[in-house]
Amino acid sequence: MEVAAPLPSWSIYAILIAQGSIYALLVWFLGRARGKTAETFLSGGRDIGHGMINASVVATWVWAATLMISSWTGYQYGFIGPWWYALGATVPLPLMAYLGRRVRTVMPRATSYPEFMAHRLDRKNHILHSSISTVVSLWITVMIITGGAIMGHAFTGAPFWAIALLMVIIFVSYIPLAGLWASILADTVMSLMLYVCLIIIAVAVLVKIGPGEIWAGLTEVAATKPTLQPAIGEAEQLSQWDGLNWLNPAGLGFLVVNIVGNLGAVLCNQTYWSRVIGARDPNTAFKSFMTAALCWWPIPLATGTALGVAALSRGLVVGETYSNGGATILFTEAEAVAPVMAFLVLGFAGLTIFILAVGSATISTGAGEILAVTTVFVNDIYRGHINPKARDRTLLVASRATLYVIAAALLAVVIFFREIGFSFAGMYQAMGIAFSSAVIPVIMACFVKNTNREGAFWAAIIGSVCGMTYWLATGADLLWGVVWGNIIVLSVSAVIAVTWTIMRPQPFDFDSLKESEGATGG
Amino acid sequence: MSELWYVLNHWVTIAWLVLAAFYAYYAVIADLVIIVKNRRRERKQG
Repeated sequence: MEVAAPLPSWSIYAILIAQGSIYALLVWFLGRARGKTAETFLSGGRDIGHGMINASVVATWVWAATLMISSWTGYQYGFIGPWWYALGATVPLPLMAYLGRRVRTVMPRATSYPEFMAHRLDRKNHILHSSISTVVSLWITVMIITGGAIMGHAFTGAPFWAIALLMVIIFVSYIPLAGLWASILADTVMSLMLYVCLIIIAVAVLVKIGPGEIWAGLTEVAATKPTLQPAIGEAEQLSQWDGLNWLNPAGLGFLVVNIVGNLGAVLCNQTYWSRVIGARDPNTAFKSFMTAALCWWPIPLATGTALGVAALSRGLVVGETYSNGGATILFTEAEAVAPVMAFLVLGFAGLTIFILAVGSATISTGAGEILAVTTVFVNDIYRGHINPKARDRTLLVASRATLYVIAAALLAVVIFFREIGFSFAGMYQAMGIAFSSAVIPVIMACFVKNTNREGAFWAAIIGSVCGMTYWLATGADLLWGVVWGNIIVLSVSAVIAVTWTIMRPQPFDFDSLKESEGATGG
Repeated sequence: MSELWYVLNHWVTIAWLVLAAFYAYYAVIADLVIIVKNRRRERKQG
């Protein structure tokens, strides 16, 4: 049965255009002076306070997935799903706090983390981490633009390409004005708005359904074992019927995948290092990442509990249509459980608020990631290898040009993937296998003075190859294959980097980094 | 798991979200106050 989109198509355009206009105006009035030199454009001026860095880390770490997948975990694994989702994705933030403080202390003039690797390790590690950081950011941006546009299309009927195009235009509407500072300012506004949206939804569920009724629903699901997702296998259905068990085995597997994948997505991602670089001092960076962990944690936890667990308790069935106030909505797939539940609780207002939250999350993360790719390209590739003597003005022009080119290329890739029907299912869970092998080398480069350069390099490559080979051998299994794939990636890279370092230590004097600048070191 | 534990779990998630929002707003406002004070000081110093 064909079900019309519950919201008019203009609503998504209005939400996106309004947000983009507000950010562009704010940046123009408050921070365009930061876009006058390449140094302030790429580093944000290195004087941003704790409040803005804290809010920015929260906003960039809230992806559309944070709201959609956390709710899916509540629907799939019961009450423990959002806890495991939140815990797994929070772990990298405190770790980043220690790494960030360390890098800002030993190399205060660093602009990117590959630049630090160039000085701390060598040229081949610099090229490797520049590549990894770029791929991570592009991967994430493609995922979030696609996810946001699919959701916008599903609930408003607006064409996929139009939503994707609008998102990309918004990215390049305010970032070129002031670079990193613009990104952090817009993140701050988005973060504060996001909290309001999510509190409204969570409180509405609390008032309209209530935890007692949700508990009763979960016990009924456990007792009657209804088929809520006709297309999934028996093992996944069993985990869904086990919604009151905090040791739900599939949920624990998801925890492992989430921890490993997110370690790579944060520690090997210039977007988060940019927040370290932009902070006023090392301690501001440290404090901000620590508080951001505590401020970020309840976002997927409360959203997943309010929407995902409530949907499970109500026995929502994938493929069915649901009504509220005379309007109907089609529950197309389990991952879309959050907007469907928001609609059932608050009607059009709930769906609009949820789309606003997802739109904010998408814009803040997407803009930050595009800027991160630009930073690595301009600072590490262009200034590091192509034109080391480039003047500040040239770097500034290169930064803005790179932003536009990357945005256009990303749009083309997103639309191309959509046209060929590329499936993004599992991309989130496969993140760790693809690039978390670089996590141990990054940590060792920051803290272990004897780290072997060859060991760090080969650990990142061999770890990823081993994990990927195993995962593909399991037929890209998304249940336990992906769990063991993630464990293999991290274990193999750790064993190689640590063993190589113990066998052939290469002592390094961290004090030598104090005056280092530019990516031509090593 | 008993009903009491589930109800407690649900309330904890929302209370934490509200506290986090409060802290985020507080920290941003504190930042703005510092920025405004610094600008005033800079103007006074010419």
